[in-house]
Amino acid sequence: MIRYFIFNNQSPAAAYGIGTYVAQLARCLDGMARVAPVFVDTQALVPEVSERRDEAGRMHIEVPMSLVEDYSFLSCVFYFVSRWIDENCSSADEIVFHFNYSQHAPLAYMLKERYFKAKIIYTVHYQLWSFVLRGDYARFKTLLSPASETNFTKEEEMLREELRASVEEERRMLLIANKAIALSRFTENVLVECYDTDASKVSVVPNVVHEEKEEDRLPLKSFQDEQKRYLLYVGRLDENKGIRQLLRAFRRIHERHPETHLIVVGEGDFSVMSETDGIWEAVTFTGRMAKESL
Amino acid sequence: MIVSLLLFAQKTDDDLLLDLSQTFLYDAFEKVDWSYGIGLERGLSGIGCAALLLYKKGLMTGDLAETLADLDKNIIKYSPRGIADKSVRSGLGGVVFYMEKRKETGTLSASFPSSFLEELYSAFTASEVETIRQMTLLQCLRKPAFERADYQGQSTCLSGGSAYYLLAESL
Repeated sequence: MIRYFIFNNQSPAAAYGIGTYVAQLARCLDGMARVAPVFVDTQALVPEVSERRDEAGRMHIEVPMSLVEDYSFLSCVFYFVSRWIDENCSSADEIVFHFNYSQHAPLAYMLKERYFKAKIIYTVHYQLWSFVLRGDYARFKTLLSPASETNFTKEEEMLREELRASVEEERRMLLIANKAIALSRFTENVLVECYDTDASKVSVVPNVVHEEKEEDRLPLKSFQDEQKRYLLYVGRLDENKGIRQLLRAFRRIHERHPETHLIVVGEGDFSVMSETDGIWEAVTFTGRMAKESL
Repeated sequence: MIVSLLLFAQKTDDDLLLDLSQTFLYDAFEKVDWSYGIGLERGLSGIGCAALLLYKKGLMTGDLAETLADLDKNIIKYSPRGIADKSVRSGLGGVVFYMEKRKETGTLSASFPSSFLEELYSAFTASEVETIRQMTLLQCLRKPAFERADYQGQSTCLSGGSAYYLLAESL
């Protein structure tokens, strides 16, 4: 039996990207007879550490909310996960720990030390530099280059310091991982070029959403105009997601292809709507939608 | 709370919990600061008494005076004359309680100057000191207002919280 521990976070923000990823991962694992997944949910809305099975029968170890996920907090998670393993797993079981947050690296090291045969998988969902530099990879590489190659300003030196520290922190998880999963070729390149990650360690597995039924493919009732071509964005309305760039790009597309219509699903900073001035009729903001409706 | 966890881990032979609590313990010792206050319930003398208890139970080892040196230095920063609160829980009484426990280990005079001790003890009558000396740690703490089984959502503190029950069970 493979005991597959998936480290998740139940905070509202995590319910979007990583939460969806974990839900899809759970579906994939459901069909594997030899795999018994266990979800370790931090920031759960429970009064104390609890175990529960969800409606699909999957095991969850729920860890209550904490203001910070520091070393002490991760030590507690380590304790409860280890106790669960000691009480529920046999020595014949293979153990896999699947992490989704780089800040869980100390926990990965603690678990690896205790269960040294365990495999560690790390999915790279985000990298700090991308938030800070809005995904400007060329600038990231410049800022990481040796000081002798470029004259940096004082502000840039501070930024370099911050970025180097973040790369080091994220590398800790990559170093201990047996396998790193990148969600795109772009991320794979970044990991190899700037994080010194062994290319053979990285696999690219793009995000997917499972289609349950044939009728899922039917278009939404409000968007059935066959003369139009619909583009769909699903995610938080956040600068970090490139939502402004998307709206600006769509404006240019719409000028050349007036039949296009953009549907933006998600909540967040609705001030980005100003980017659609003059093409209001071509963009629909739905707000957040329930997964079932979506 | 950490002391309660350590003692509980020892009593229940829970090595994992012991490791975890020791991590917290060393972390707490590194963060000791004079601004904690001197009382037993939330202050420096409480940390000192906790350490003494752990030594007694074999959960801390090494040179006692050396381990407690930083803590003691922080206690000495307070002038007993300037503290009106004589209670054991939050005031000078807690320091006397700690000093009396240190006397039992034979490490008191090496860490505290006689001038500090004279000033401290002059604030108490001989019978008050004797009363404090005879107190047990549990007597210095408040028993929680809730039952053991109703710990959820309650304080986790040693005094008046669920850690009290763990300590009472483990001593």
